[in-house]
Amino acid sequence: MKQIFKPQMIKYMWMVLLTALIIKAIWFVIALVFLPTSSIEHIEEQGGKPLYYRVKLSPNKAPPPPVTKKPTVVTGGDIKDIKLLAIYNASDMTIVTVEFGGKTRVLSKGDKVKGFALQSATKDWAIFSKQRKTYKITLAKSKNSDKMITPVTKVATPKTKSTKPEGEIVDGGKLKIIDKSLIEHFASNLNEVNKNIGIRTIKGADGKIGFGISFIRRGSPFAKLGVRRGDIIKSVNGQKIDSYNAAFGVYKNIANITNLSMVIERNKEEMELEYEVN
Amino acid sequence: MQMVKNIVIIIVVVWFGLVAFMPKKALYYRLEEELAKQDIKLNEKLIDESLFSLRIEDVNVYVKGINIASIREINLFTLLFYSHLSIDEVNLDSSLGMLAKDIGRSDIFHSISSPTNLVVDVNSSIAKVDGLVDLAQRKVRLDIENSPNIKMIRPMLKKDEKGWYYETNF
Repeated sequence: MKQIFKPQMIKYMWMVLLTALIIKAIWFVIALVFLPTSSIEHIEEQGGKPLYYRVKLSPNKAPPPPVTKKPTVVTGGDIKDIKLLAIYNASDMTIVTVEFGGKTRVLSKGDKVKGFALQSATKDWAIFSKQRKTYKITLAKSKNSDKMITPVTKVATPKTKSTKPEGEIVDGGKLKIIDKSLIEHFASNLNEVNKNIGIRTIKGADGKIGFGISFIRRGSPFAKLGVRRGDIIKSVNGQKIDSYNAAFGVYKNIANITNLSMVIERNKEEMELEYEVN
Repeated sequence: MQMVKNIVIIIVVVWFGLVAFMPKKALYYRLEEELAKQDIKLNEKLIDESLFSLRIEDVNVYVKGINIASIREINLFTLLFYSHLSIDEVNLDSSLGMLAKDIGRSDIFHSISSPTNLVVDVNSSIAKVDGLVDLAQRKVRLDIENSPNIKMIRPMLKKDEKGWYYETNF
């Protein structure tokens, strides 16, 4: 009988199969004894949430503030003396409140103060014109009023994004009001946060992490928050700050919140700080 | 001659068996375990094991519980004497303030001809990066292509006759 395979070939095949089997068996034992069979998954924790939501019960359009139709004209003086205090900007009406010489005036479009006529306004600044020149006055947020005035040639030119924080923290007694632009500034500039406030991690005996304040830069917006060096942040908006993820989750969502309640530990006593974001 | 033939066949079969039967998925789980000890966790949607490669899709990278990056695909191709790891579309979390937010594709090569070195090739939103990781000397050198975008990272870089480069030890 003629053989299909040479005996030598069959021998090689047996050798190959046996070697492959041995290797497979070795890998199988290694996987069984030394290697894990399932993946390690990270379970996302819930981030900080607002404690309450603001509900407007009044009609959608708030009645416009009383307007003096009579144009106010005051001639002479410098644009630097005018401080923009408030802006009301609707589709059909633009009203601003300005301060000059210790007095406040309400102006509508076309009204003049010290010869500067109100042309238009956005939510952050107003445009005045005098003798074919236009001036942009930024809404008063800084104590240095000189920096708020920028002569402009085109009214529609948007101001370039400043690296300095805009907005202020207003102390309203028990409740502090934080300007939203300030929050937005720090929410997008982590390096700026690190320059102004130092946060150190504290490891507890239970393995939980706490976050303490190691320094606050004098004159920075953080100094006005009411927190001090040595304070330990316990929770923000009901969310316990006991892990990096919880802390970072709060930081990531901070630009979306409208109210902020923070529990801190100071001298072994807990206290609550409340803020409103406007 | 017969002896040589037998040895060659055994070497080829052993090599093929080692690569093809390697429990790549389980080895990846072991890597995850080791990374978890450093507080680094990887969440992936798909792990696909094949004869010579392992493909992982939609990976989220968590460091200390913080989602710092997402990776569209990681592909490891290995023949043992030559390995290629490609990482596609890395998006770093913008709130971390990192300079390069998007890294298009990164390639890491290892060859038995230079067993202590890894060759790195990265295409980031800032610049193209070519580099070498010396495993023996525990040194990394990344040569960064000169572009206007590297202005921001220049304080971290050094310069020599080849141009700007980043150097660190691990």
